[in-house]
Amino acid sequence: MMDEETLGLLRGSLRQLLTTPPADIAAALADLGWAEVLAEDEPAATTALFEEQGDTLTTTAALDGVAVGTLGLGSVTSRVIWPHPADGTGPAALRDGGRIRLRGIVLSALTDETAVVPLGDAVAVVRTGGLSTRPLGGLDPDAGWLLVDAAIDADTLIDAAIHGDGGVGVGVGVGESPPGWEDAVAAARRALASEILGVSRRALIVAGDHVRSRKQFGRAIGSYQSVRHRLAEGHAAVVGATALTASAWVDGTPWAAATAKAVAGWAHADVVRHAMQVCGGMGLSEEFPLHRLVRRGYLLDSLLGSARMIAREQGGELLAGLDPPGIVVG
Amino acid sequence: MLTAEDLSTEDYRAGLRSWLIERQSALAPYRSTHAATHAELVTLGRQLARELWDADWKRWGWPRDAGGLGGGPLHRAVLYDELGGQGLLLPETDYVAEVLGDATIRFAPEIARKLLADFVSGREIWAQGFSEPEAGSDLASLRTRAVRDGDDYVVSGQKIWTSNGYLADRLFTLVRTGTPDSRHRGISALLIDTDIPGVTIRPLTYASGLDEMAECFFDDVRVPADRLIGAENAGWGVAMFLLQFERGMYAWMRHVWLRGRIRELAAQVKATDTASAEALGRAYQTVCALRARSAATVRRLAAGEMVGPEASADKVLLATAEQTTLDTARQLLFPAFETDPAAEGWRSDWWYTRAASVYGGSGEVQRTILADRVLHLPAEDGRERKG
Repeated sequence: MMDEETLGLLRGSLRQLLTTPPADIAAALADLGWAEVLAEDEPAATTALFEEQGDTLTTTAALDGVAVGTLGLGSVTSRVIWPHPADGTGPAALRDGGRIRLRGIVLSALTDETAVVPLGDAVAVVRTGGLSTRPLGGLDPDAGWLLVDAAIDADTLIDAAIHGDGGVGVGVGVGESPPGWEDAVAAARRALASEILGVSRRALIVAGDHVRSRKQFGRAIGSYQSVRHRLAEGHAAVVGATALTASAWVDGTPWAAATAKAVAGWAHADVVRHAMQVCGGMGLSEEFPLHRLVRRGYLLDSLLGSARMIAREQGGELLAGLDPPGIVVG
Repeated sequence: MLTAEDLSTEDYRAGLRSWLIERQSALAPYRSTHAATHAELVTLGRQLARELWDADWKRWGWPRDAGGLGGGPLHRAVLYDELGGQGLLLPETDYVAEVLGDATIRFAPEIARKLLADFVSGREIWAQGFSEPEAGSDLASLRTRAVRDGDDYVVSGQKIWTSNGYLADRLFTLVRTGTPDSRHRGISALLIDTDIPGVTIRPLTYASGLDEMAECFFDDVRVPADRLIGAENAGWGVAMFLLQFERGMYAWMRHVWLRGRIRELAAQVKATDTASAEALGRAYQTVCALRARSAATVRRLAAGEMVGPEASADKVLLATAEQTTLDTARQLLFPAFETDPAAEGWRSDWWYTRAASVYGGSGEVQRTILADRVLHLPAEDGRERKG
């Protein structure tokens, strides 16, 4: 376990590292001794990295590292082709006769030779050489996400099937069941929850600063009860989601990770609804930072199942008779 | 006999769980979720509390000086979690015991030594007499007076919204011992037996018909001075200490109850459409956020930390979870909620959850505390705030 002081130092280093976003986040983190940090306290380190990334609105492919690490493929590749938001948790690729139909998202340009992709029920490593990408665009073009949309000859594409699909395990001992895509999704969802909460906390800070300095009717608008209560409510939502994300690490199940990501998404929606109102016209202007936080939070919510998609899925399971899981809180 | 040091909360959980499963059929009466009257529900809860006490499970979490076996709030949190996990009710008296128990131990160890075990084991009922007709969220304006006369305090005044009040053996009250305008500096905590002449208690019925609350009148009631909890005029500190447990442990208990309600709702709802699933899933998720946050707060309390103003976030999350869950029940049970006599339990709970943003400091008070003391926003009177 990392103590408060070490964690503070780590956050400082991460913040510095993210001020000038490195092209190769995996290499930059490696320089920071990330492997040792993770070995010491993976939950605290991952939470810090993604909260800082959200707070500073930096985009990197750090999320790929989380999934690749979970799958045990760190020595094989460092990148992931994520499912398109419309497809929730995936897959991002389907076999179609001898061809493979790919539709997914990459968080930054594919410079590596290979990437992980959820292929049908399996996880595969594909060669990225023949893959063309184009900017995703949409709500938050600054995120720099790219769309992969292609149909490619399977023989030229597949490097190795890792899990399922009758493929050979890579880096997995005989008889062991390798971590699958569901585990990678769970790990990525915990990270995304923290990133969404980093964005949300920053939105509360931006709005708080605004209502302290902006005066109307001779008073700071932050002294009006309706304004104060909106920000207090946003704060409470963030506090609840942060506690749940920490619990999702203790609990460890995909269910808990899904719940944490959904609750973070709801919290962000609450926060920005209030923040945009109290920031008035400024909040809607291009120069003011709030719209970037609105955009980023919603974009992150859309990846690997939005809050709404997860609520629908979990509610469906409860209706089908699942006893409501009590997330392990440690 | 095992001591708390020998029994980790995880071992406690495992032992308790197998005991509950073994006694599944004997515990069946405690599986009901809605009694015809509040008094019946309280009686059921007291019987369950007694069984758990006699089997020692309920003695864990309370100090040996108070008749317990040691351990702390974490053992109690596990007890409630496991009861809920087995679909059993939580004793009504424990909602109050969790708010008052630790404060009694801390500020009046002698009273705790003599009386607390009877309360926690369900033998007697205590209630909390804080609110007054003119002092709700603005608690520091309370007016019930206690004047020292020899070895007694003479108490006159009125309390209202006292949960379990008309069933109570003792009332844990806040009374004014300072001057009328002394606000929080002139308040004391006093434990008043309800059989003392001059105490009159009348049930107060909720809009739902639930007879849970009461109003209490004190007409020159002579209370022995050794029933002071904390020093004279130090009652505000007692109240602030105790409120931490209301924000932490009470919220934890309510989340256990809500999880049970979601389980029952899912079992009753016939719909399988995506809108219903989404609403139910979202309600469940608000309960999960409450679970995680209140667990963290209970852990801090168990470690002896003062939780402070951040606990107001817990209270906001509690009200959100309660109201979202029962609003969802109302919607998903349409039209039974409106038309079916058998859905009275749901209607009653729906009304009760409206109180979650009112009692223990209204939602407005909680948001103001967060705005002032956590977010450090400008004060409401418009003056600049430092820090």
